[in-house]
Amino acid sequence: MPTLPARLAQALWPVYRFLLNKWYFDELYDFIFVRPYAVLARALWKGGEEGVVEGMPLDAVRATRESAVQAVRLQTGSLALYAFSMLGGLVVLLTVALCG
Amino acid sequence: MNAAIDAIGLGPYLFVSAALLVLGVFGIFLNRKNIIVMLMAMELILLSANLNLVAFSSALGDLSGQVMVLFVLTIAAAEAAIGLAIVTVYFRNRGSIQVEDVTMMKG
Amino acid sequence: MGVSSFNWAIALPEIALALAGVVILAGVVLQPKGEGFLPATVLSGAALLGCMVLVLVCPQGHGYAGTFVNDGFARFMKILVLAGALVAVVLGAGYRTREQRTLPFEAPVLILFSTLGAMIMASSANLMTLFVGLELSSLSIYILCALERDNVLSSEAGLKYFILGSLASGLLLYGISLVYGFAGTMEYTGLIEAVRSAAIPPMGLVVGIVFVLVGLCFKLSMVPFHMWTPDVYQGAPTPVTAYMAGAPKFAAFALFLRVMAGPFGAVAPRWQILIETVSILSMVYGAFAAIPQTNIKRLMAYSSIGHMGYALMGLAAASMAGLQATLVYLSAYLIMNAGTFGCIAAMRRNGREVNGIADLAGLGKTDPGMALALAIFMFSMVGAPPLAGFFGKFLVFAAAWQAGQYPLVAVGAAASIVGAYYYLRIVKVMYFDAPDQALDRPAPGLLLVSGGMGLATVLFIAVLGPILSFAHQAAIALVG
Repeated sequence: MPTLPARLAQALWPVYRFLLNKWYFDELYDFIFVRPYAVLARALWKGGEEGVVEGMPLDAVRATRESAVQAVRLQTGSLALYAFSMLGGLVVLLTVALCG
Repeated sequence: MNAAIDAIGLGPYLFVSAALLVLGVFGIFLNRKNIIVMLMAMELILLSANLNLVAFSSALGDLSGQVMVLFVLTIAAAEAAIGLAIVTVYFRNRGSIQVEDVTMMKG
Repeated sequence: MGVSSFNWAIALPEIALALAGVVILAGVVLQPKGEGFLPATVLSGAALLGCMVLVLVCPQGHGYAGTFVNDGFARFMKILVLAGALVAVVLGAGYRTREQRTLPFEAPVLILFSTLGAMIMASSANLMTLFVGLELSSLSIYILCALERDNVLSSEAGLKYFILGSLASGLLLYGISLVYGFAGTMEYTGLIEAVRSAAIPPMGLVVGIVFVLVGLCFKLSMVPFHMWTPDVYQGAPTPVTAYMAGAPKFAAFALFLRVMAGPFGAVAPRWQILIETVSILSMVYGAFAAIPQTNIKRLMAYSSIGHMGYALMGLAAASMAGLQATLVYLSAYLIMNAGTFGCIAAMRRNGREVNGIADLAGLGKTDPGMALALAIFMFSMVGAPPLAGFFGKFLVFAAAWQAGQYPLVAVGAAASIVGAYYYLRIVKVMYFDAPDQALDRPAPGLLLVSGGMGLATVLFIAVLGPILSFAHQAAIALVG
């Protein structure tokens, strides 16, 4: 009976569609895995890769340069400050030696 | 022979010399006026060490501390002479011996 | 102790150098004004050379009632000190001040006396000798810094170094007095026993040791006692800067190693942490603060702060290999430092001295020889194999690693990378920036120094074996 399958399909329409679309496996797969993964990948690519990984050396360089400028600012040329820093060093070393 | 040390102990000597050291060190970095004051403060530091050396030498009954003091006195004299010479040269070039003017080089 | 225990012969190099200094000074003072510089330079150079030979042949042992010792370690350090001084004297011969004049004739003689002090420091076996040697060396340098009498920067450099240096000497002396009082003796041999016999070292002794440490750290320009370094290096006449970056540092290191590994070696755990801290701070500060510099002499000052930090790593390892590594590091540092200052002293344009890093622009085209030499020194300072600096750095890092000082190694490696930036910037400026007006043709003495040192930096690997064994003997003499 060539009409039986057609009728069966008619009668069990939802089941037929479910089976026809292979249990919606691809859609399910797409929904559960592919899309989140794509979103994640996109986020990591734009934000993580370009922002953090590629930016990190730049940030490091910027931080280095800024801290270098700060470090040099300590060097005011004033004798009192120079003597004071020596004294500060002495006190710190004394504390470490006596308590450490 | 060590009557003074025996009578009052080592403590007061060490205390006075520590006080001199602190005075000298503060004289160097709290002084905002004149470089000559710094030279005096330096002598104070050297003398505080000398006092220590003499006191210890007397208490230990060991002469090397006093020998050292003689060396230090000589060196202090040389240091003062050199210091004054440098201050003179600096004054000729800069026209001032104010401590805050000694900041041509920095950074 | 009788006169027989004086053992005059072991101080023969020092006695000869002192006599030579006095004779040269007396002879040159009688010359007509302005004509004394050349004879004084030649004679001082000859005296330093002769002294180097005397150091090699002079007998070893203790003498002068236990205040003076001549051993393998002292010999190694004296050779380094003399070599540094000799280079400075040669640089001084080719150097001209702003007024196109030579330095005053006192310059080579003062370098000679300062070297004498440094040699006494290296041979000290007693706190008294230590202090006298240190002061002889420092007092001469105070004058040397301010020697360009019409230059306000030079006199400011002298003034700053004098004030801070005297403060450091004062603190050192106070420390010596405390150590003397609480250990009961000034001789190193006595100190070793006093420190070992006490279960817990008395507080006064620890305080004294820290004061001595501070005084020595100042001479080595370790952070935070380094503040004088850039200003003084910039202001002092270039040959004097070259001298200061070499010989006195070696002498201070000699003292540091001798005092810390010898008398205070028994309380090593007490001071090891201090050395580590100071070493880390110096490496990091030296690397960072050098980056924004535009004056090459200031840059070299920060560079020397960093280098002293690396060299101190060997001592922080507190091991035989560490001592040996420090000695090799100092030898490599002597060579590349002297060569760099040879190039700096040759930086003149239209007869005027220039010190800006930008003034080196295009040197690769205008003066390829000097650019090549400077590039070699910079790569060596970075620690690129197979140049001299690499071996020093490698040995020091290896020693610290073996001693389990991992934080020290990590910080040192990071600081090296940051340091590479500013060293290589100079190479970049020389080879890739548009040529400026060419520099003047340097004096032959300067060419000799920078060329010779460049060759030595490249060929360091060839003499590494002898230097290592020499350093090993020195380390054995120190620790026994």
